[in-house]
Amino acid sequence: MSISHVDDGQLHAYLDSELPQAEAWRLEAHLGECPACRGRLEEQRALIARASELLALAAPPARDVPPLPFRPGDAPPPPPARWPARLPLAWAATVVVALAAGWYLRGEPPIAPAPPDHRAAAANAAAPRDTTRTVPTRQAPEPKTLAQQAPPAGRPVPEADEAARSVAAAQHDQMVSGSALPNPQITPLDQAARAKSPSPPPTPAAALAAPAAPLAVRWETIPWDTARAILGVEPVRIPNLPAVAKRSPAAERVVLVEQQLASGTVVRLHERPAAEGVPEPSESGAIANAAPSKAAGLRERMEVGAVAMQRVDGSERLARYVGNLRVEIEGALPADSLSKLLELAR
Amino acid sequence: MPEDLAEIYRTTYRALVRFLYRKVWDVERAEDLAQEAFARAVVHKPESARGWLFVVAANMARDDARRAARERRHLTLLKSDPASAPAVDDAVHAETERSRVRTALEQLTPRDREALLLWDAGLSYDEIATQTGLARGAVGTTLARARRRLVEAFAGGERDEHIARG
Repeated sequence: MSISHVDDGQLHAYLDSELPQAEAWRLEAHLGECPACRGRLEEQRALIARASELLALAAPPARDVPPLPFRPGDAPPPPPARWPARLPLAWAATVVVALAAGWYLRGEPPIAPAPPDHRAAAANAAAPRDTTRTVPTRQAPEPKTLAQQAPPAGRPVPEADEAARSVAAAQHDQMVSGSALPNPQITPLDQAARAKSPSPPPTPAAALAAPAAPLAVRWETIPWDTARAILGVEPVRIPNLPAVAKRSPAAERVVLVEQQLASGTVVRLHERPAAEGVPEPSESGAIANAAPSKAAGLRERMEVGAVAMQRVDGSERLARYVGNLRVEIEGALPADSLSKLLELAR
Repeated sequence: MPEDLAEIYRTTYRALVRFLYRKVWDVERAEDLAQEAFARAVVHKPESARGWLFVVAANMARDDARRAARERRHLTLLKSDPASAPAVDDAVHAETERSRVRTALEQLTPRDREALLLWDAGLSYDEIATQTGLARGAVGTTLARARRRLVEAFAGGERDEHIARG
Protein backbone atom coordinates (compact mmCIF):
# COMPACT_ATOMS: atom_id res chain seq x y z
CA MET A 1 0.00 0.00 0.00
CA SER A 2 1.25 3.39 -0.86
CA ILE A 3 2.55 5.38 2.07
CA SER A 4 1.57 8.73 0.59
CA HIS A 5 -1.98 8.97 1.85
CA VAL A 6 -4.02 11.89 0.72
CA ASP A 7 -4.64 14.72 3.15
CA ASP A 8 -7.99 16.24 4.04
CA GLY A 9 -7.31 19.27 1.90
CA GLN A 10 -6.91 17.11 -1.19
CA LEU A 11 -10.03 15.16 -0.32
CA HIS A 12 -12.05 18.35 0.04
CA ALA A 13 -10.67 19.77 -3.18
CA TYR A 14 -11.50 16.48 -4.87
CA LEU A 15 -15.04 16.43 -3.48
CA ASP A 16 -15.45 20.09 -4.45
CA SER A 17 -14.35 19.17 -8.00
CA GLU A 18 -11.51 21.63 -7.62
CA LEU A 19 -8.56 19.27 -7.68
CA PRO A 20 -6.45 19.69 -10.82
CA GLN A 21 -6.91 16.83 -13.27
CA ALA A 22 -3.50 15.24 -12.77
CA GLU A 23 -3.83 15.27 -9.00
CA ALA A 24 -7.34 13.92 -9.20
CA TRP A 25 -6.06 10.94 -11.19
CA ARG A 26 -3.33 10.27 -8.67
CA LEU A 27 -5.82 10.53 -5.82
CA GLU A 28 -8.25 8.15 -7.48
CA ALA A 29 -5.44 5.68 -8.08
CA HIS A 30 -4.56 5.82 -4.40
CA LEU A 31 -8.17 5.44 -3.29
CA GLY A 32 -8.35 2.31 -5.40
CA GLU A 33 -5.72 0.63 -3.30
CA CYS A 34 -6.27 2.25 0.14
CA PRO A 35 -9.46 1.39 2.04
CA ALA A 36 -8.46 3.75 4.85
CA CYS A 37 -8.45 6.72 2.54
CA ARG A 38 -11.71 5.58 0.95
CA GLY A 39 -13.20 5.65 4.42
CA ARG A 40 -11.85 9.11 5.01
CA LEU A 41 -13.25 10.25 1.72
CA GLU A 42 -16.73 9.23 2.87
CA GLU A 43 -16.20 10.93 6.22
CA GLN A 44 -15.23 14.14 4.52
CA ARG A 45 -18.14 13.88 2.14
CA ALA A 46 -20.48 13.69 5.12
CA LEU A 47 -18.67 16.58 6.79
CA ILE A 48 -19.08 18.75 3.72
CA ALA A 49 -22.77 17.90 3.55
CA ARG A 50 -23.24 18.70 7.21
CA ALA A 51 -21.41 22.01 6.93
CA SER A 52 -23.56 23.00 3.96
CA GLU A 53 -26.64 22.05 5.91
CA LEU A 54 -25.61 24.25 8.82
CA LEU A 55 -24.83 27.15 6.54
CA ALA A 56 -28.23 26.73 4.95
CA LEU A 57 -29.76 27.13 8.40
CA ALA A 58 -28.06 30.49 8.58
CA ALA A 59 -29.33 31.64 5.21
CA PRO A 60 -31.26 34.88 5.07
CA PRO A 61 -35.00 34.66 4.59
CA ALA A 62 -35.82 34.26 0.91
CA ARG A 63 -36.75 37.57 -0.64
CA ASP A 64 -37.26 38.79 -4.15
CA VAL A 65 -34.30 40.06 -6.06
CA PRO A 66 -34.82 43.80 -6.26
CA PRO A 67 -34.52 45.54 -9.62
CA LEU A 68 -31.10 46.36 -10.93
CA PRO A 69 -29.46 49.26 -9.14
CA PHE A 70 -28.27 50.41 -12.54
CA ARG A 71 -29.60 50.70 -16.07
CA PRO A 72 -28.85 47.77 -18.33
CA GLY A 73 -27.72 48.61 -21.84
CA ASP A 74 -24.69 50.31 -23.30
CA ALA A 75 -25.45 53.73 -21.88
CA PRO A 76 -23.00 54.53 -19.10
CA PRO A 77 -24.59 54.42 -15.67
CA PRO A 78 -25.61 57.71 -14.13
CA PRO A 79 -23.08 59.02 -11.66
CA PRO A 80 -24.11 58.81 -8.03
CA ALA A 81 -26.08 61.87 -6.99
CA ARG A 82 -23.65 62.43 -4.20
CA TRP A 83 -20.55 60.69 -3.00
CA PRO A 84 -21.27 58.50 -0.04
CA ALA A 85 -18.90 59.46 2.70
CA ARG A 86 -17.63 55.93 3.03
CA LEU A 87 -16.83 55.47 -0.61
CA PRO A 88 -13.19 54.48 -1.02
CA LEU A 89 -12.86 57.45 -3.30
CA ALA A 90 -13.96 59.82 -0.59
CA TRP A 91 -10.46 61.07 -0.06
CA ALA A 92 -10.20 61.90 -3.72
CA ALA A 93 -13.20 64.14 -3.31
CA THR A 94 -11.53 65.70 -0.33
CA VAL A 95 -8.41 66.37 -2.32
CA VAL A 96 -10.50 67.96 -5.01
CA VAL A 97 -12.18 70.12 -2.40
CA ALA A 98 -8.79 71.13 -1.09
CA LEU A 99 -7.60 71.97 -4.57
CA ALA A 100 -10.74 73.89 -5.27
CA ALA A 101 -10.39 75.80 -2.04
CA GLY A 102 -6.90 76.80 -3.03
CA TRP A 103 -8.16 77.72 -6.44
CA TYR A 104 -10.80 80.07 -5.14
CA LEU A 105 -8.62 81.56 -2.47
CA ARG A 106 -6.36 82.52 -5.29
CA GLY A 107 -9.23 84.15 -7.09
CA GLU A 108 -9.44 84.81 -10.77
CA PRO A 109 -6.62 86.08 -12.93
CA PRO A 110 -6.95 89.32 -14.87
CA ILE A 111 -8.97 89.05 -18.07
CA ALA A 112 -6.49 90.88 -20.21
CA PRO A 113 -3.00 89.52 -19.73
CA ALA A 114 -0.50 92.09 -18.63
CA PRO A 115 1.95 93.24 -21.28
CA PRO A 116 4.97 91.00 -21.64
CA ASP A 117 7.99 91.84 -19.61
CA HIS A 118 10.74 89.66 -20.92
CA ARG A 119 13.42 90.83 -18.56
CA ALA A 120 11.32 90.03 -15.56
CA ALA A 121 10.34 86.74 -17.08
CA ALA A 122 13.94 85.82 -17.59
CA ALA A 123 14.80 86.85 -14.06
CA ASN A 124 11.94 84.80 -12.79
CA ALA A 125 13.04 81.80 -14.78
CA ALA A 126 16.50 82.07 -13.29
CA ALA A 127 15.24 82.31 -9.75
CA PRO A 128 14.35 79.07 -7.99
CA ARG A 129 10.62 78.60 -7.75
CA ASP A 130 9.37 79.27 -4.28
CA THR A 131 7.04 76.44 -3.44
CA THR A 132 5.54 78.29 -0.54
CA ARG A 133 4.08 80.74 -2.96
CA THR A 134 1.66 78.27 -4.38
CA VAL A 135 -2.01 78.27 -4.90
CA PRO A 136 -3.48 79.30 -1.56
CA THR A 137 -1.65 82.61 -1.40
CA ARG A 138 -2.52 83.79 -4.85
CA GLN A 139 -4.82 86.73 -4.81
CA ALA A 140 -6.59 88.57 -7.54
CA PRO A 141 -9.50 90.96 -7.66
CA GLU A 142 -12.42 88.60 -7.38
CA PRO A 143 -15.23 91.17 -7.76
CA LYS A 144 -14.18 91.75 -11.34
CA THR A 145 -15.03 88.17 -12.12
CA LEU A 146 -18.29 88.51 -10.35
CA ALA A 147 -19.12 91.62 -12.28
CA GLN A 148 -18.33 89.72 -15.40
CA GLN A 149 -20.46 86.74 -14.45
CA ALA A 150 -23.29 88.30 -12.52
CA PRO A 151 -26.53 89.37 -14.18
CA PRO A 152 -26.82 93.06 -15.12
CA ALA A 153 -26.77 95.49 -12.23
CA GLY A 154 -29.94 96.02 -10.28
CA ARG A 155 -30.43 92.39 -9.38
CA PRO A 156 -27.54 91.56 -7.08
CA VAL A 157 -27.04 87.91 -6.27
CA PRO A 158 -26.85 87.51 -2.49
CA GLU A 159 -24.39 84.67 -2.72
CA ALA A 160 -22.15 86.64 -5.03
CA ASP A 161 -22.20 89.52 -2.58
CA GLU A 162 -21.24 87.27 0.23
CA ALA A 163 -18.56 85.68 -1.88
CA ALA A 164 -17.18 89.07 -2.71
CA ARG A 165 -17.14 90.01 0.96
CA SER A 166 -15.33 86.88 1.99
CA VAL A 167 -12.80 87.23 -0.78
CA ALA A 168 -12.26 90.84 0.14
CA ALA A 169 -11.65 89.76 3.72
CA ALA A 170 -9.21 87.12 2.61
CA GLN A 171 -7.36 89.60 0.49
CA HIS A 172 -7.34 92.29 3.12
CA ASP A 173 -3.74 92.01 4.26
CA GLN A 174 -2.32 90.93 0.97
CA MET A 175 -3.60 93.49 -1.47
CA VAL A 176 -1.31 96.20 -2.64
CA SER A 177 -4.10 98.70 -2.74
CA GLY A 178 -7.49 98.63 -1.10
CA SER A 179 -9.16 98.80 -4.44
CA ALA A 180 -11.04 95.72 -5.45
CA LEU A 181 -11.92 97.20 -8.81
CA PRO A 182 -10.95 95.24 -11.85
CA ASN A 183 -7.69 96.51 -13.09
CA PRO A 184 -5.16 94.26 -14.69
CA GLN A 185 -2.40 96.66 -13.72
CA ILE A 186 -3.12 96.33 -10.03
CA THR A 187 -1.84 92.96 -9.07
CA PRO A 188 -1.39 91.36 -5.68
CA LEU A 189 1.98 91.48 -4.00
CA ASP A 190 3.31 88.13 -4.94
CA GLN A 191 1.92 88.33 -8.40
CA ALA A 192 3.70 91.60 -8.88
CA ALA A 193 6.84 90.09 -7.47
CA ARG A 194 6.96 87.41 -10.07
CA ALA A 195 7.01 88.23 -13.72
CA LYS A 196 3.94 88.98 -15.70
CA SER A 197 4.41 86.51 -18.43
CA PRO A 198 3.47 86.96 -22.04
CA SER A 199 0.27 85.28 -23.01
CA PRO A 200 -0.52 84.04 -26.49
CA PRO A 201 -3.15 86.01 -28.38
CA PRO A 202 -6.70 84.82 -27.85
CA THR A 203 -7.62 81.93 -30.08
CA PRO A 204 -11.07 81.48 -31.59
CA ALA A 205 -13.35 79.64 -29.21
CA ALA A 206 -13.90 76.82 -31.65
CA ALA A 207 -10.24 76.04 -31.69
CA LEU A 208 -10.27 76.09 -27.91
CA ALA A 209 -12.81 73.38 -27.50
CA ALA A 210 -10.84 70.61 -25.86
CA PRO A 211 -10.87 67.30 -27.66
CA ALA A 212 -13.58 64.90 -26.60
CA ALA A 213 -10.95 62.53 -25.26
CA PRO A 214 -8.21 64.83 -24.05
CA LEU A 215 -6.10 61.94 -22.89
CA ALA A 216 -5.96 60.33 -26.29
CA VAL A 217 -3.87 63.20 -27.60
CA ARG A 218 -0.15 63.55 -27.20
CA TRP A 219 1.02 65.71 -24.33
CA GLU A 220 4.45 67.27 -24.38
CA THR A 221 6.27 68.36 -21.30
CA ILE A 222 6.73 72.12 -21.17
CA PRO A 223 8.66 74.30 -18.73
CA TRP A 224 6.68 75.46 -15.74
CA ASP A 225 7.15 79.07 -16.78
CA THR A 226 5.54 78.34 -20.11
CA ALA A 227 2.57 76.78 -18.37
CA ARG A 228 2.30 79.85 -16.19
CA ALA A 229 2.49 82.05 -19.25
CA ILE A 230 -0.35 80.20 -20.93
CA LEU A 231 -2.62 80.52 -17.94
CA GLY A 232 -1.49 83.96 -16.87
CA VAL A 233 -1.32 82.64 -13.32
CA GLU A 234 0.42 79.92 -11.39
CA PRO A 235 -1.02 76.59 -12.52
CA VAL A 236 -3.00 74.78 -9.89
CA ARG A 237 -1.14 71.92 -8.27
CA ILE A 238 -0.92 69.97 -5.05
CA PRO A 239 1.82 71.69 -3.07
CA ASN A 240 5.04 69.92 -2.16
CA LEU A 241 4.57 67.25 -4.74
CA PRO A 242 6.60 66.93 -7.92
CA ALA A 243 4.60 68.36 -10.79
CA VAL A 244 5.13 68.15 -14.52
CA ALA A 245 3.44 70.64 -16.80
CA LYS A 246 2.38 69.44 -20.23
CA ARG A 247 0.72 70.81 -23.30
CA SER A 248 -0.90 69.20 -26.28
CA PRO A 249 -0.70 70.54 -29.82
CA ALA A 250 -4.39 69.76 -30.07
CA ALA A 251 -5.29 72.15 -27.28
CA GLU A 252 -2.57 74.72 -26.91
CA ARG A 253 -4.34 76.78 -24.33
CA VAL A 254 -4.87 73.89 -21.96
CA VAL A 255 -2.19 73.13 -19.42
CA LEU A 256 -1.99 69.67 -17.99
CA VAL A 257 -0.29 69.34 -14.64
CA GLU A 258 0.60 65.77 -13.79
CA GLN A 259 1.47 64.80 -10.26
CA GLN A 260 2.28 61.32 -9.19
CA LEU A 261 1.57 60.29 -5.64
CA ALA A 262 3.75 57.81 -3.81
CA SER A 263 1.00 55.23 -4.12
CA GLY A 264 1.30 55.27 -7.91
CA THR A 265 -1.89 57.24 -8.27
CA VAL A 266 -1.65 60.01 -10.83
CA VAL A 267 -3.53 63.26 -10.41
CA ARG A 268 -4.00 65.22 -13.62
CA LEU A 269 -5.19 68.80 -13.56
CA HIS A 270 -6.34 70.24 -16.84
CA GLU A 271 -6.51 73.97 -16.69
CA ARG A 272 -7.01 76.73 -19.16
CA PRO A 273 -7.02 80.49 -18.70
CA ALA A 274 -9.84 81.43 -16.39
CA ALA A 275 -11.65 83.57 -18.92
CA GLU A 276 -11.93 80.64 -21.28
CA GLY A 277 -13.88 78.25 -19.14
CA VAL A 278 -13.65 74.59 -18.41
CA PRO A 279 -11.10 72.58 -20.40
CA GLU A 280 -13.83 70.47 -21.88
CA PRO A 281 -17.43 71.13 -22.82
CA SER A 282 -19.51 70.24 -19.84
CA GLU A 283 -23.12 70.71 -18.96
CA SER A 284 -22.00 72.18 -15.68
CA GLY A 285 -19.94 74.84 -17.39
CA ALA A 286 -22.29 77.70 -16.71
CA ILE A 287 -22.49 76.87 -13.05
CA ALA A 288 -18.83 76.11 -12.85
CA ASN A 289 -17.98 79.61 -13.95
CA ALA A 290 -19.75 81.28 -11.12
CA ALA A 291 -17.29 81.74 -8.31
CA PRO A 292 -18.67 81.03 -4.87
CA SER A 293 -15.81 81.17 -2.45
CA LYS A 294 -17.61 80.00 0.64
CA ALA A 295 -17.14 76.42 1.69
CA ALA A 296 -20.87 75.86 1.39
CA GLY A 297 -20.81 77.11 -2.15
CA LEU A 298 -17.95 74.80 -2.87
CA ARG A 299 -19.74 71.78 -1.55
CA GLU A 300 -22.72 72.63 -3.64
CA ARG A 301 -20.48 72.95 -6.63
CA MET A 302 -18.87 69.63 -5.94
CA GLU A 303 -22.23 67.99 -6.21
CA VAL A 304 -23.14 69.83 -9.33
CA GLY A 305 -19.81 69.08 -11.00
CA ALA A 306 -19.85 66.25 -13.46
CA VAL A 307 -18.22 62.98 -12.57
CA ALA A 308 -17.25 60.82 -15.46
CA MET A 309 -15.48 57.54 -15.67
CA GLN A 310 -13.58 57.26 -18.87
CA ARG A 311 -12.03 54.25 -20.42
CA VAL A 312 -8.85 55.47 -22.01
CA ASP A 313 -5.97 53.25 -22.95
CA GLY A 314 -7.72 50.45 -21.14
CA SER A 315 -7.43 52.10 -17.76
CA GLU A 316 -10.00 53.75 -15.56
CA ARG A 317 -9.86 57.36 -14.68
CA LEU A 318 -11.96 59.52 -12.51
CA ALA A 319 -12.58 62.94 -13.89
CA ARG A 320 -14.18 65.85 -12.15
CA TYR A 321 -14.75 69.47 -13.02
CA VAL A 322 -13.99 72.23 -10.60
CA GLY A 323 -14.36 75.67 -12.07
CA ASN A 324 -11.82 76.08 -14.85
CA LEU A 325 -10.22 72.91 -13.72
CA ARG A 326 -10.70 69.37 -14.85
CA VAL A 327 -9.32 66.97 -12.29
CA GLU A 328 -8.51 63.40 -13.16
CA ILE A 329 -7.36 60.80 -10.73
CA GLU A 330 -5.97 57.56 -11.99
CA GLY A 331 -4.76 54.45 -10.27
CA ALA A 332 -5.26 52.67 -7.00
CA LEU A 333 -6.62 54.84 -4.27
CA PRO A 334 -5.55 53.31 -0.97
CA ALA A 335 -7.47 54.66 1.96
CA ASP A 336 -4.37 55.34 4.01
CA SER A 337 -3.16 57.94 1.59
CA LEU A 338 -6.05 60.21 2.47
CA SER A 339 -4.41 61.81 5.44
CA LYS A 340 -1.14 61.99 3.59
CA LEU A 341 -2.78 63.79 0.72
CA LEU A 342 -4.67 66.11 2.95
CA GLU A 343 -1.43 66.98 4.60
CA LEU A 344 0.10 67.69 1.23
CA ALA A 345 -2.85 69.71 0.09
CA ARG A 346 -2.67 71.77 3.24
CA MET B 1 -19.89 46.00 -19.62
CA PRO B 2 -23.23 46.87 -18.04
CA GLU B 3 -24.77 43.87 -19.82
CA ASP B 4 -22.23 41.62 -18.19
CA LEU B 5 -22.96 43.21 -14.87
CA ALA B 6 -26.67 42.73 -15.37
CA GLU B 7 -26.02 39.06 -15.94
CA ILE B 8 -23.75 38.84 -12.91
CA TYR B 9 -26.39 40.63 -10.91
CA ARG B 10 -28.98 38.08 -11.94
CA THR B 11 -26.78 35.10 -11.10
CA THR B 12 -24.86 36.40 -8.12
CA TYR B 13 -27.09 38.79 -6.23
CA ARG B 14 -28.63 36.18 -3.95
CA ALA B 15 -25.28 34.57 -3.23
CA LEU B 16 -23.87 37.97 -2.35
CA VAL B 17 -26.77 38.70 0.00
CA ARG B 18 -26.31 35.29 1.62
CA PHE B 19 -22.60 35.94 1.99
CA LEU B 20 -23.23 39.35 3.50
CA TYR B 21 -26.03 38.13 5.71
CA ARG B 22 -23.68 35.76 7.48
CA LYS B 23 -21.50 38.70 8.26
CA VAL B 24 -24.00 41.35 9.29
CA TRP B 25 -26.90 39.07 10.34
CA ASP B 26 -29.52 41.50 9.15
CA VAL B 27 -31.19 40.70 5.86
CA GLU B 28 -32.08 44.27 5.01
CA ARG B 29 -28.60 45.48 5.76
CA ALA B 30 -27.19 42.62 3.70
CA GLU B 31 -29.37 43.63 0.79
CA ASP B 32 -28.37 47.26 1.11
CA LEU B 33 -24.72 46.32 1.08
CA ALA B 34 -25.17 43.99 -1.89
CA GLN B 35 -26.88 46.76 -3.82
CA GLU B 36 -24.16 49.18 -2.94
CA ALA B 37 -21.50 46.70 -4.03
CA PHE B 38 -23.19 46.40 -7.41
CA ALA B 39 -23.56 50.15 -7.67
CA ARG B 40 -19.84 50.48 -7.11
CA ALA B 41 -19.16 47.81 -9.70
CA VAL B 42 -21.05 49.94 -12.19
CA VAL B 43 -18.75 52.84 -11.47
CA HIS B 44 -15.49 50.91 -11.29
CA LYS B 45 -16.19 48.31 -13.97
CA PRO B 46 -13.77 45.79 -12.49
CA GLU B 47 -12.37 43.17 -14.80
CA SER B 48 -13.42 40.12 -12.84
CA ALA B 49 -16.57 41.60 -11.44
CA ARG B 50 -17.73 38.58 -9.48
CA GLY B 51 -14.62 38.20 -7.38
CA TRP B 52 -14.39 41.97 -7.05
CA LEU B 53 -17.94 42.17 -5.72
CA PHE B 54 -17.15 39.76 -2.92
CA VAL B 55 -13.98 41.63 -2.02
CA VAL B 56 -15.82 44.92 -1.81
CA ALA B 57 -18.79 43.35 -0.05
CA ALA B 58 -16.51 41.77 2.54
CA ASN B 59 -14.92 45.14 3.21
CA MET B 60 -18.25 46.86 3.52
CA ALA B 61 -19.50 44.16 5.86
CA ARG B 62 -16.42 44.57 8.01
CA ASP B 63 -16.97 48.31 8.29
CA ASP B 64 -20.61 47.68 9.00
CA ALA B 65 -19.82 45.16 11.70
CA ARG B 66 -17.50 47.62 13.39
CA ARG B 67 -20.16 50.25 13.45
CA ALA B 68 -22.73 47.77 14.65
CA ALA B 69 -20.42 46.68 17.43
CA ARG B 70 -20.23 50.28 18.55
CA GLU B 71 -23.95 50.59 18.55
CA ARG B 72 -24.35 47.31 20.41
CA ARG B 73 -27.31 46.68 18.19
CA HIS B 74 -26.61 43.08 17.38
CA LEU B 75 -25.65 42.13 20.86
CA THR B 76 -29.16 42.92 22.01
CA LEU B 77 -30.55 40.85 19.18
CA LEU B 78 -28.37 37.91 20.09
CA LYS B 79 -29.32 37.98 23.72
CA SER B 80 -33.01 37.86 23.06
CA ASP B 81 -33.90 34.75 24.99
CA PRO B 82 -35.39 32.03 22.78
CA ALA B 83 -37.12 30.59 25.84
CA SER B 84 -39.24 33.72 26.12
CA ALA B 85 -41.25 32.62 23.07
CA PRO B 86 -43.00 29.29 22.57
CA ALA B 87 -40.45 26.80 21.24
CA VAL B 88 -43.03 25.20 18.99
CA ASP B 89 -43.13 28.27 16.83
CA ASP B 90 -41.31 27.43 13.59
CA ALA B 91 -40.03 30.94 13.08
CA VAL B 92 -38.57 31.03 16.54
CA HIS B 93 -37.03 27.64 16.01
CA ALA B 94 -35.44 28.79 12.77
CA GLU B 95 -34.16 31.90 14.53
CA THR B 96 -32.64 29.79 17.27
CA GLU B 97 -30.91 27.56 14.76
CA ARG B 98 -29.65 30.58 12.92
CA SER B 99 -28.14 32.11 16.00
CA ARG B 100 -26.53 28.77 16.87
CA VAL B 101 -24.91 28.59 13.47
CA ARG B 102 -23.89 32.17 13.88
CA THR B 103 -22.26 31.41 17.20
CA ALA B 104 -20.50 28.43 15.66
CA LEU B 105 -19.29 30.49 12.69
CA GLU B 106 -17.91 33.08 15.02
CA GLN B 107 -15.64 30.47 16.55
CA LEU B 108 -13.82 29.99 13.29
CA THR B 109 -10.73 32.00 12.49
CA PRO B 110 -11.50 34.92 10.20
CA ARG B 111 -9.64 33.33 7.32
CA ASP B 112 -11.33 29.94 7.68
CA ARG B 113 -14.71 31.60 7.94
CA GLU B 114 -14.06 33.79 4.92
CA ALA B 115 -13.02 30.84 2.77
CA LEU B 116 -16.06 28.86 3.83
CA LEU B 117 -18.52 31.68 3.19
CA LEU B 118 -16.96 32.44 -0.18
CA TRP B 119 -17.18 28.79 -1.19
CA ASP B 120 -20.77 28.68 -0.07
CA ALA B 121 -21.44 31.81 -2.12
CA GLY B 122 -20.31 29.93 -5.20
CA LEU B 123 -16.77 31.16 -5.68
CA SER B 124 -14.16 28.80 -7.08
CA TYR B 125 -10.94 27.82 -5.34
CA ASP B 126 -9.09 30.19 -7.65
CA GLU B 127 -11.36 33.06 -6.73
CA ILE B 128 -11.13 32.24 -3.04
CA ALA B 129 -7.34 32.11 -3.30
CA THR B 130 -7.26 35.50 -4.99
CA GLN B 131 -9.53 37.03 -2.45
CA THR B 132 -8.11 35.61 0.76
CA GLY B 133 -4.45 35.58 -0.23
CA LEU B 134 -4.30 31.85 0.35
CA ALA B 135 -2.26 29.69 -2.01
CA ARG B 136 -4.47 27.85 -4.44
CA GLY B 137 -3.29 24.56 -2.98
CA ALA B 138 -4.16 25.66 0.55
CA VAL B 139 -7.81 26.37 -0.13
CA GLY B 140 -8.85 22.71 0.22
CA THR B 141 -7.04 22.39 3.54
CA THR B 142 -8.57 25.63 4.78
CA LEU B 143 -12.06 24.54 3.78
CA ALA B 144 -11.57 21.13 5.36
CA ARG B 145 -10.60 22.76 8.63
CA ALA B 146 -13.36 25.37 8.45
CA ARG B 147 -16.04 22.76 7.82
CA ARG B 148 -14.82 20.51 10.60
CA ARG B 149 -14.71 23.38 13.07
CA LEU B 150 -18.12 24.62 12.09
CA VAL B 151 -19.69 21.21 12.57
CA GLU B 152 -17.85 20.67 15.84
CA ALA B 153 -18.65 24.13 17.18
CA PHE B 154 -22.30 23.70 16.32
CA ALA B 155 -22.43 20.31 18.03
CA GLY B 156 -20.57 21.76 21.00
CA GLY B 157 -23.11 24.59 21.23
CA GLU B 158 -25.97 22.12 21.22
CA ARG B 159 -24.34 20.11 23.98
CA ASP B 160 -23.79 23.20 26.09
CA GLU B 161 -27.40 24.19 25.70
CA HIS B 162 -28.63 20.79 26.83
CA ILE B 163 -26.39 20.96 29.85
CA ALA B 164 -27.60 24.46 30.65
CA ARG B 165 -31.19 23.34 30.49
CA GLY B 166 -30.41 20.44 32.80
